Amino acid sequence: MLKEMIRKMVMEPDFMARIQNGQLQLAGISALEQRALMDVMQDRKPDESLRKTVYWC
Amino acid sequence: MKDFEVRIMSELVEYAEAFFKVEVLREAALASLQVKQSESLLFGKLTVLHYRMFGGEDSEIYRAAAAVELMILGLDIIDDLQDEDHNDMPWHMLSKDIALNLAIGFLTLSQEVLLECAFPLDRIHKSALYFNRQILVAINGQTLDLLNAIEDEAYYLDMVKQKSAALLVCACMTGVIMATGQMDERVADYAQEVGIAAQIKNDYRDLLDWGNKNDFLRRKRTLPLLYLLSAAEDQADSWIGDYIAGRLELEEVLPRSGEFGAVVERTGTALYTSVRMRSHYYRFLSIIESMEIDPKWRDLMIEAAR
Repeated sequence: MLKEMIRKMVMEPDFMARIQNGQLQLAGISALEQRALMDVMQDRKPDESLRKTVYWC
Repeated sequence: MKDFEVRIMSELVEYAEAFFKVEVLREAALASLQVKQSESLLFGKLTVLHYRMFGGEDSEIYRAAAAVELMILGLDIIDDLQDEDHNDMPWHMLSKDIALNLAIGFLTLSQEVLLECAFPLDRIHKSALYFNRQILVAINGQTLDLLNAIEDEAYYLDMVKQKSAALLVCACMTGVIMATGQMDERVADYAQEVGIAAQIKNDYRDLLDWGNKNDFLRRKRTLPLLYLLSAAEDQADSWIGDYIAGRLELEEVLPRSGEFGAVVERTGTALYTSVRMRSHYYRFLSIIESMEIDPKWRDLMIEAAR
């Protein structure tokens, strides 16, 4: 469900804007995924921390 | 925790000098330990942190932390030999047969050091059992990774739990067992989440970096690549699926690195990977924040996991 939601978000900017504005409910994804999605979107760019190396893997 | 690095390095160097008798092995072992120190000895730190978190006060825990670091180092070397990765590391300066002996030496030395810890024997026994079982889990996970037969996210997560998270769980649980004589499933659960989040982060880095080890060019199936394959459906992006399926050769896609980054952004691969990584991190936070532990140790664990 998260996968489909993100694909729709990147294809339809209006859909993404409505989620960011809280106009659409994030049904079908877990509370933790909702929190993560909202946090990442508030950054408005790919998570920079993703680019850092984690050396224990 | 402040003198942690000095204390654990002292243990590591002492054991390496005592057991690696052949000069070429001893020199490579000491150089390898210096690499570990430069990476902050995170696994050993987690062992000490969890020992303190669960009420342990003995300085003998530094020896157990050294055992954990030796185990990780041995497995790191094997992993690099298999992946032909991190070519600047000291073990790559050796021939492969000698490097393999170095790795086996570190793994065996980790057991020696663990068994020599001056903790109650039942705790050492329980810890050694846990140690070995987690290593075996990691070896199974590493084999799944080498087979590169991942078809979906469930398979990927199963592999990551075994290959990466099991070792992080082991580092934390060694401290818990030495402090209490028991395992704590909550620690296993949150350490696993940290391990998964870290692996997703590394896999995203290895997808984008075409200058070094690159998972796309090696056709390595990871969570970001699986998403990208499912999302890159436009005709203009079909070369991505064609390359992974073997219908295009390496030299045909090498000139397209700039284009690749744009596809990753446009398809939401960065967004999806970021959300998945953060979800696992938040699951870790949710578990550790529900535990009745000294906030000092909890906050140190949260800092270590960032």
